[in-house]
Amino acid sequence: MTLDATIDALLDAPLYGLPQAEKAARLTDALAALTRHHRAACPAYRRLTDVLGSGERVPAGVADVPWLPVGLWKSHRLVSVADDQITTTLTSSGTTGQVPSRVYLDAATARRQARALAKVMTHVLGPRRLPMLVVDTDAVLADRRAFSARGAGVLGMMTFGAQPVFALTPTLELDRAAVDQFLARHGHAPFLVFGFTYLVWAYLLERLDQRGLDLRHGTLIHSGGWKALAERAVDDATFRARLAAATGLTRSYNFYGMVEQIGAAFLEGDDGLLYPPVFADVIIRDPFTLAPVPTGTPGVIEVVSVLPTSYPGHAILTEDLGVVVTVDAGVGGRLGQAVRVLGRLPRAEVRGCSDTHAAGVAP
Amino acid sequence: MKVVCRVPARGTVELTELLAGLAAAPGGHPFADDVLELCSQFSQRLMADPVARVHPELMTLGYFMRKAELVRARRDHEAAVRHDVVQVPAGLVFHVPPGNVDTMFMYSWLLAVLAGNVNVVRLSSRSSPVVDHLCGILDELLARPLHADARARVAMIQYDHDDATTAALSARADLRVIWGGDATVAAIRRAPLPAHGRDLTFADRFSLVALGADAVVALDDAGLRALAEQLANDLFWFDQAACASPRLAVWIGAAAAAGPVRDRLWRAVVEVAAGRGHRPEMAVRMARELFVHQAVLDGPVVARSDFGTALTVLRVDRLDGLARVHPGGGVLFEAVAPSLASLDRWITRKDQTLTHFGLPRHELVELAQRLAGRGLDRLVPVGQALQMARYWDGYDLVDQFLRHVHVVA
Repeated sequence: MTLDATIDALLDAPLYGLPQAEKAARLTDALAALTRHHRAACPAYRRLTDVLGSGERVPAGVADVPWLPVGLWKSHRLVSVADDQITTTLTSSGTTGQVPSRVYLDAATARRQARALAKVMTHVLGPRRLPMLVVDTDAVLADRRAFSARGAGVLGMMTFGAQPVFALTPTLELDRAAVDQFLARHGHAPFLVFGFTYLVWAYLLERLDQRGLDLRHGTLIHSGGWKALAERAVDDATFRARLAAATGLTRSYNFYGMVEQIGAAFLEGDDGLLYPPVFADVIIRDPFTLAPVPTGTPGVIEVVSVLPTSYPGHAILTEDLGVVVTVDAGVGGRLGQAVRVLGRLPRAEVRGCSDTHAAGVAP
Repeated sequence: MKVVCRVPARGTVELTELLAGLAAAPGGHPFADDVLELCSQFSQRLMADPVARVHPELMTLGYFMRKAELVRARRDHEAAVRHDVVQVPAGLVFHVPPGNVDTMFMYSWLLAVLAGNVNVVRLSSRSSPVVDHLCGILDELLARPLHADARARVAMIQYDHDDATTAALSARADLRVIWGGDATVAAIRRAPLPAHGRDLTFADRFSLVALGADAVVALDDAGLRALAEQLANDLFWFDQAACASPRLAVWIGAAAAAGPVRDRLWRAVVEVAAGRGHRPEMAVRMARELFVHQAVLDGPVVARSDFGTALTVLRVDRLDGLARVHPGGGVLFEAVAPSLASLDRWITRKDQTLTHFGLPRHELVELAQRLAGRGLDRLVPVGQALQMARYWDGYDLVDQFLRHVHVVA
């Protein structure tokens, strides 16, 4: 089978229907093919795999596929296609002052990622494009050549909605008139609400007055870290409770994803756990030995995905902590591993003679 | 402009009043009895301090300040003074210690106060238990009547990053001491000194260890263990992030071509570290993974070996092209060189400390002479990389804090 055919076969497999053993076996074959592809097409990846270990070795399992640390997309240009094939450059927003990640897509990878994301989203939204309320400002779409992760996320989700209305002004005030108008037209039938978790909490829920909002027919898809919310002592349950109380919305799905692996979104299931789709998975690694840990043991999240052919991002060690909670539990008909994300790695305390040492990691 | 004065503990004070008070302080002189007494009391307090048992860097500081050492330094100093020179303090010294080595401000102050100077020490605005503890002890000792003069000659202060305050202090400084590396030096230097004022600067540095391969091969288990203990001190204190922490190991001599001796030593080093309960922080360990990947893409790395979770050794097949970028936290470049002298082509101004084992003195002296000031300011035995000394970064620090008045009768 060609690489494309191998990847497409997984994209066409039942999204959450394969038992873990079968899923892992099929992923291993596809990821091995991707390793061969990137070794042939990306000199940097070839050098890394030659020096740091595996080289041409055939992986015995998903955990055996060589991974790259996610920070490498901030410091190095990692590309597996000719420059004139690059159609889109994605950048991570990051915190102010931080170097953003840069991810290079060709048409094939972008198309595959869009198709993958569609499979995940239509699983909960249905095949019809619903009217869409975006809890963000249209200003995030300003620069169409280099999207921030927020812009890319909003734009990506707009494919699954129709007649989008932005709920926030450029200064992130609630645009009550626009929202009321949207609800007057679409509020009585199913509609889609999308936004980053923090924006939904801080700029929608916390800003609502006594009148509240009637979003009971809405389905909320939200993403983004819980870190900022954890600082405000807001967890998943608090978020859901407040959402239901203030808006009547009960169909709420968090998802986990990153700019380095667009399309491989882990959507929340009925049990509140995140499910990698059939074409992606996680390996949880011990943060000190980096060896895979058993189900139930927290560690650093490695994300694998068969989608990227234009950059060597099929196995990425993230800077997030997480745990595999169940395997093949079958809740809501979903098989495979179910994951809980526990947050970012703690930051290192900076030591040493140089005050700027923290910045010294990236050359 | 207001600052918080921690030593003496006076709370928030007006900067102009603080400076006026320091200007009125009685003049000191080098190695005065009362200052030696103050330092020795401080040292005794630290050496008996339960807090110092969990912070070994406090023990080291206490040892550095012990009376016998200070008396010896005074004797050396007096023996070297010419009869036509009167040594006097430099004047008002403004210290900017690094924000993330908690004990450094004390070394900076100590060397300056021994010379009799008036000292303003800028403490990090980020509070630290170790700094708070040291300030508390010093403040308590300064309250004793014997130390009234010393008390009048010091202000250890905190203020938020504020260029105006730094400028006001700099404008009054006879000598400004800037630690904290290139960026801090550049930032503080924007504030002008008086025309006669002088900067003592401590830039970003890189350090390495040179191992005589034949000498290591010849070690029995006990000898290897002893060497490993010294290397573990150098490598793991301050998470390998101090300017003098070795980041590159160079095996000198043909025997190093054999891999077993190298692995035997690094295994012994991590055994020592493990025995001491050393374990990298999770974030430091993960940062190492990123650095390893970056180093492979950017430099002449040919192989990686992991020794437990504490140490990753990256072998390079040449020194050319090895960037002096390093995150600390348990990663060591490893190279082989035919002779110590052959390092001279590679050494640059950025290189500070070469710790050594199994290499004869004449080769060390010869290397320093061959380099002729192009790099390396310290060549010290393994185990002493982080031992603060009077001679540092090419300076004689006691001398730097003095003025030399020529008196011909």
